[in-house]
Amino acid sequence: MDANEIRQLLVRYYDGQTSEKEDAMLRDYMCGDDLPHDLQEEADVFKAMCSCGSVPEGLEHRISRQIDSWNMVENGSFRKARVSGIRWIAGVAACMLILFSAGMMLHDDGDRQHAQWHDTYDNTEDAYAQTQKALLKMSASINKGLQKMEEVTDNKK
Amino acid sequence: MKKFIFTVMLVLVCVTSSAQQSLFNKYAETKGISSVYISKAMLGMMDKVKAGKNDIGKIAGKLEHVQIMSCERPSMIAVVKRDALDALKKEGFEQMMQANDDGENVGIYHKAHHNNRNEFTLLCVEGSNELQVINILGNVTMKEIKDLMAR
Repeated sequence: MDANEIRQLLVRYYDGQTSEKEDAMLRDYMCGDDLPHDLQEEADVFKAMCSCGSVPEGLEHRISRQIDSWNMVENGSFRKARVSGIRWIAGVAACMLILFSAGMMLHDDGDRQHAQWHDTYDNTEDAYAQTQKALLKMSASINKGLQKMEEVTDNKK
Repeated sequence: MKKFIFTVMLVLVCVTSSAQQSLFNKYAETKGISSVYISKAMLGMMDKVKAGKNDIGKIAGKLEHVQIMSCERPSMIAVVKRDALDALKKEGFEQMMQANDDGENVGIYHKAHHNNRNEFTLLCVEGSNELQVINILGNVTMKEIKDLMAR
């Protein structure tokens, strides 16, 4: 084949219109010596393709295994990340709950505690009598205690 | 193990009912123990009550509640006294006074609250016959209570 035919074949090759036989002819010509100067660049490409050599045995299997192991690592880290995220959210929610509960405990909520209790008496007079009795008892006890203290202090003098 | 401890701590913190209210609640329906509760609303109406000597209307208006528990069952006095002392300790009450006189053992305890409110508890044991717990909370001082009898 002469150089002009090769150039036409090259155009058809790059358009994907060549047959396998024509591809082989083109490869053989390009891998040979004594090529025209303008086809040297094309020849370098064909020569690089020729020197690739054959596919090592078991390469597909090894690549497939490597991809599977990468996939497992990726899935594992995704699961860990998702679990860590849920744990982090749960931890924050628990801390907020503790802080809220602690705040409620520290805050004087006597009214809320006594909301469940109802007045024992439904009339003011009876309630007054009981309150008076309780307060006077408390007052008497305080006064008695203070009196005792004064007596002890006076005796020491 | 860490999760278990954390969960237990979380549950304990979330329990907000006070120990002293548990004391009154515990014995609210017990035979031989009587309980009295007077609310802020009722106390607020006391200044209108016609009273003679020792008028407590003014001081009653400053109170938020009055609770009285009386135990007249000798067999229960020791247990109730122990529970009362435990409750006072848990609630952070400070003992202000303790007096023994003629077989009557009286303790007065105090706890300060915010907004100048004070809570006083009197625990009185008369021999082995009667025990009384009086609890008051309000914007009152010990001097005001003491002065009730000094009038």
